Amino acid sequence: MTLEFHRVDFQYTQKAQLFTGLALRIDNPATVLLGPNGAGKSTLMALAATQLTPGHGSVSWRGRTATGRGELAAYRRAVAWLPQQVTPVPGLSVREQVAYSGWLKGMSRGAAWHASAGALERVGLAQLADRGGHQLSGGQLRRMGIAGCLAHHSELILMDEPTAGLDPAQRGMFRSLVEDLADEVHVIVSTHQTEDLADTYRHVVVLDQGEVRFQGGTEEFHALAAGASGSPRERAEAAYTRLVEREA
Amino acid sequence: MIWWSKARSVPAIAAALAGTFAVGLLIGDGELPVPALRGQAGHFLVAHLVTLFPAVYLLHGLGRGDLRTEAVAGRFLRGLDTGLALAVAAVGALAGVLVCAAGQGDLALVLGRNIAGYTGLALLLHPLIGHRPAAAAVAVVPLLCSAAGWRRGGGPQPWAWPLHPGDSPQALTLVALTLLAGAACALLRRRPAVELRVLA
Amino acid sequence: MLLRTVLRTSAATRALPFLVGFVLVALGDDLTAWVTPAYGLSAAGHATFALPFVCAACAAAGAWEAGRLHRGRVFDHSPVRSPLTITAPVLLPVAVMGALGMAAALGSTALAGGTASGVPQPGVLAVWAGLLVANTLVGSIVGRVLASVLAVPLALISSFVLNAYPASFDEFWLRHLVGGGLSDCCSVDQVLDERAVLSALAFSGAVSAAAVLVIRRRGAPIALATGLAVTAGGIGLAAHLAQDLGPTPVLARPASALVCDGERPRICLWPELGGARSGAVREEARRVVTTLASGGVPVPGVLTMAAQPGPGEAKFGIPTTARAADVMPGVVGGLVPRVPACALHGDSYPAGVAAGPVTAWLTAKAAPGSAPHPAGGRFGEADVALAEQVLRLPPEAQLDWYQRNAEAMRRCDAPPALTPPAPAALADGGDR
Repeated sequence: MTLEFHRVDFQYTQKAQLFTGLALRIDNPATVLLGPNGAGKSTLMALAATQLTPGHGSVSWRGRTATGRGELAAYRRAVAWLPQQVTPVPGLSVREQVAYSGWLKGMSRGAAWHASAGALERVGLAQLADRGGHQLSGGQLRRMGIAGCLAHHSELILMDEPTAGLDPAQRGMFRSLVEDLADEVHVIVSTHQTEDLADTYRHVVVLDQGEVRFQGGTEEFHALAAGASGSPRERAEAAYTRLVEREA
Repeated sequence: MIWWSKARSVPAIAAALAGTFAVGLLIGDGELPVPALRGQAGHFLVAHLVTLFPAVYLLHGLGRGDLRTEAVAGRFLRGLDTGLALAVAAVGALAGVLVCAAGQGDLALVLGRNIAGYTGLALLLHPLIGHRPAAAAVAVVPLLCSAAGWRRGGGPQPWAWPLHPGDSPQALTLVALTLLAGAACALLRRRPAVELRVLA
Repeated sequence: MLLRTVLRTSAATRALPFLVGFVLVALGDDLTAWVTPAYGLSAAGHATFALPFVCAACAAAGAWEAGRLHRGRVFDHSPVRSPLTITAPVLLPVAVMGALGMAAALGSTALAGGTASGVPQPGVLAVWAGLLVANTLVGSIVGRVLASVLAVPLALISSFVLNAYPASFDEFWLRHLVGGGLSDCCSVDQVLDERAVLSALAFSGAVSAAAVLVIRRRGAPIALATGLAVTAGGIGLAAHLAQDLGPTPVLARPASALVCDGERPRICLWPELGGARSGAVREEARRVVTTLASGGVPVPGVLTMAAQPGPGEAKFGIPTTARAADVMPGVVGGLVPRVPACALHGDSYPAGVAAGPVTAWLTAKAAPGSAPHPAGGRFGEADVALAEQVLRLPPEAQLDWYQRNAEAMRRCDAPPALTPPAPAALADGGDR
């Protein structure tokens, strides 16, 4: 099961070209996307989620491209996306909003409602299910967004900076969640936090200025920090820094 | 569907529609003294102005959901949203015809037609410029009509459909075309209105 | 925030070209239709015609900008600066947009009036500034309270209605609160009544002060209550100032501004005519007066363009762009008695019908040798026919006919005596 970017060009209006002929294949079920601010991580995720459309080229999941009316719907059903900002819909409770996410992806009302309870349980928000979305804190909102991704049974989950705003305990819970999920579905997480690379992810993609600087296993990635000593986190940081600085 | 209707604030849109009709029938023939020397300034009616509020509420509804999540929905959400807008236009127009038939005269037709027309404009502009600018742009239309929509002889300009009498076939045609163009634009334009520049 | 950042990101920067285009194209004809040529105050007054539209644009842009601050959660970041200090620079371009919109209107009317001198009228400009600021501030509060998608249309429409609608009320003071009477100001013999300016300033000042208070205190209940009280006080003061004003807030222009020259007749003209035109007008006026006097028509010693000629003076009604052809009707018009106050108050005015024949007769006397032609709005075919009958009378009888009808025209209770006496009757009377 592969997510593939095939010669993708993308440019925001009146801005310089961000991606030019980007070619990238991700087939590992637990992939982390690293890169400095402005590297294009979120744009890559939005392209994969079909929130943005490439100027040229295509994005495909399991050989199914995100073009054409019938294929697009099928693609979207297979791919879940947690954007960087989760916006609560006024008037919907937390559970309703999670169920709404499932319904949007094509689930029946009943199935979405049923699945929302399990999803909220999984992210530790079951007790807040009846609250309004606007009453949640930033971290809780993010967990609600993750629950929305879990509610429908997607094959690929894209998460953009999912741990931003989470406290250490919640980050720990999120790591366990990703580890569990990686046994069931493919998960691609964009982040700039390198602390949990070794334990959680098996594959690393480093993006900088719209180009893939590195792609490989986590051991390979840590090997870039040759000579550096310390904890896995410090080695990951050293590898990342060397990679991005050298390329810069 | 119920969550979608909550997200779109359908009850508020329905209330805006009913409220607009009620206000329109009560004081819709009140004249706003638009300072226009050309033509008949005194014929700019409250009905020409208040009828844009259902369209504004519709745009409010279209913009209050989680736009990012909705942009990648597997369901054909654009179809549902277009259907909602067309329903607003249809209910407005139908109410106008029924109230007119019940003896309320031309004013009811003007109310119904203008509700449909402004809704068509909202439908047309929303996919092109986004819900907030679209709401502002739709609201400018009656002001533009009030200022430049009158011919020197006194009648409305052909393009100023909100000012035409209720039985004007020209205005009806323009409104129908606007609705048609709006529906086509809303259904066919894939690029989302809100481009997430922040993601760059 | 850097000025260039504010300008780059402001809704006002994007809206400005549309606003200026709207003022020049959509309002252009209406703005320039009735501007008194060469009179700066008229250009400024008529430009006020665009004010409700520009105020609406300011309110909408203010709502948009406040909504932007709200969406950016600027006030949730524990700012050291006060909400007002943060909001003011964002609203400044909006007010500037309004000012430029009104400048476009003023440029349009000034061009139509063919004058640049005396166009910036401090009173009118102050009213504009006050109302633009008030609308911008109130719009920003609407934008803070409501979602932008609702706030902008609501601010746009309600501001437009609130600025335009008061002009339709029979309670005239209401329109002066929003500068509603300024667009009818002024003919060349009128000046603006300062009470209208003060009334609008009191109202807009109070609304602005209340809005500033509410913004500064972030809508605290005490601020809301104080704001309401300040607004109510401002409305009260403004209403008091404007209570005696009519629909158009104008006064007669002081006669001291007239430029007078010569004796018998002494001709007093407004300076807007300019030196060269004044000379030509005086020369032609003296010729007409001489002709009338030689025909036995009594002409007062002073011809004046003043709104209210004094005793022994005649109104000299000519436009500021007068040509030689305008002078004779101007002089003749001054010799036709003005409509008395009783008629203006609605009393029956039977002698009103004498205006046409008398004017036709005076026109014939001012241009002997040529039959008067009907002149639109002043006299018609029937008046000319009657005047021709009078002209066949002896000079004394003609003068008697004129004086009797002129006397009747000064009152509401005297019928005119238009039918000229038959020559035979004159002869009989003469015999006696």
